[in-house]
Amino acid sequence: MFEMKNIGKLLSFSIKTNIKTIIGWCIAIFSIMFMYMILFPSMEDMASIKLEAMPEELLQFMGMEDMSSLSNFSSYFGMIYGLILIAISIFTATFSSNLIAKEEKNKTIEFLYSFNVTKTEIYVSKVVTAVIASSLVIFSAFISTSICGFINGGDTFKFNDVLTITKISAITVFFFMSFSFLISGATTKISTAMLSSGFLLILYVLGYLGKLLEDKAKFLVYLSPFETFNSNNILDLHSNTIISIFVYFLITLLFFILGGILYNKRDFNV
Amino acid sequence: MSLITFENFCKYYGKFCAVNNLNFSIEKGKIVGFVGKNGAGKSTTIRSLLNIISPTSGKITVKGLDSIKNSKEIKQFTSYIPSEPFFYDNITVKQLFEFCNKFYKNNNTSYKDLAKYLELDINKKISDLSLGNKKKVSIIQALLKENEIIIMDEPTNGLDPLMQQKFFDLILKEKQKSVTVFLSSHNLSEVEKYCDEVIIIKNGEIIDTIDMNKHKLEPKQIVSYTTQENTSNTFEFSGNINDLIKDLSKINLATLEIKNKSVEDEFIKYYQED
Repeated sequence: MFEMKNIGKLLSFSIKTNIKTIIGWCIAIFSIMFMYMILFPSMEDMASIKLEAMPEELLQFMGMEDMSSLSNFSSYFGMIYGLILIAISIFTATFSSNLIAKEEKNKTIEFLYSFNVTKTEIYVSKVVTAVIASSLVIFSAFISTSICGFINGGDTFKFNDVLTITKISAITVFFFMSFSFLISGATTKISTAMLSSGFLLILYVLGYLGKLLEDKAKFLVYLSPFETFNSNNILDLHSNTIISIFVYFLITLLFFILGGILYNKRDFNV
Repeated sequence: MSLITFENFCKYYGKFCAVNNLNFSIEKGKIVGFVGKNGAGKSTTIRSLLNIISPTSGKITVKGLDSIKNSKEIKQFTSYIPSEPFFYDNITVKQLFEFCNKFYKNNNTSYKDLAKYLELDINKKISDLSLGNKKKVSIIQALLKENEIIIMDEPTNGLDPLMQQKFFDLILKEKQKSVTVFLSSHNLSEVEKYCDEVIIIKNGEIIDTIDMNKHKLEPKQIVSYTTQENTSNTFEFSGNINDLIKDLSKINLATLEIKNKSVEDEFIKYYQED
């Protein structure tokens, strides 16, 4: 069905042609994370003065409802990372869509597909490119946080907690990545990047509504990976969270496979 | 021996029929021209052959291999020069060729030699190249591997006359190695000069196939005259030219023009007629 050698060749070329975007995002996320995390010691005082004045719903929307979080490095990281994760997910969704769609929009797919490669090999190489790119961006956030943790985290900095939050919340990123590949695998006649980003924002809002409405529509929380895999749930690791990890993993896998099947069957849009 | 075969090939885009029931074959070692108006179905046919798009119905085979199921195998011995080559802007020509070489086994041709012959600077970025130079990149890419088939869509578009000549010299060398060339072009003089056979497509259907070697052996004249009485006439003539002169001498001529009928004249009617 596919040759690993060909995937390797396509992958290295894909990384090479997208390296500037990947490095740019790594630097941006590293810097933003560093900027927030280095301020950890002074955040608690500032938060008690400034954040208390903000409406509770707004703090909830931003994932900052729990003021005590600000005195614990891992919880503070979880809160900040919850917001950064939206940016990383948007990057992943648009980057993944563009990996497929841009080849057809720019007609470079005619060049790429002129080699003795299959559509599946092209698709897999794009998926692996997206996985590597997103992992590097996530890793940048993790490294940035860890450096700050060692500098100013004090006793509340727990390396393993930061690692666990980073690892499990990565499911959110890969879930949106798989959705992007499903859409762009099916068609590139529409703006797949916009659609993927729109889907992401809808799920984020649904998660927020689920949290806001509590008992009335709590199920909405499970529709949003941002809520399902928030730092509290990850660190507590209830059975519900474990089941969610399993379900989201299966859906992600299904989206990737379905995207590949559709990509293999459809005409290139050139 | 038929190398490429189209059997009842149809391609629809929604309800629009781009190609309707195409049946033809291309023999090994020939240069076959593919001529037709814009939108006649040439690019659809070529893209289907390369599995960039798939037929709605019918079958395309290359060396007996199915164009969809065996696309990967077919591409091992097939090259394609698109009408508008598109590459990745942020890499150099050299990086692009080195990427190509990773896929081409047993290639004895050096991209450096070809680039030198076609006067292409391999250290330039793709984004800095003109259309003509991008075309050269595409030509070199196609000639880097051991081909059995080269498919070309408007290959000389953007090339200056000297480069066009150099390009066809390269193609004729490939022909000597029994490489089959499928050439889609609007440049009728190059089709006339280099093709062994020409397939004419109109509104998604093949309307004529011309054996160019036979055509060259049976020259025709286009005769146009006006008489002193101000009547004019134009007709095609093939046969003994002396008989023609004898017949014309009986007419009270005011003007007379006799010219050899080129294949270009033959083709142009397919562009004009509705």
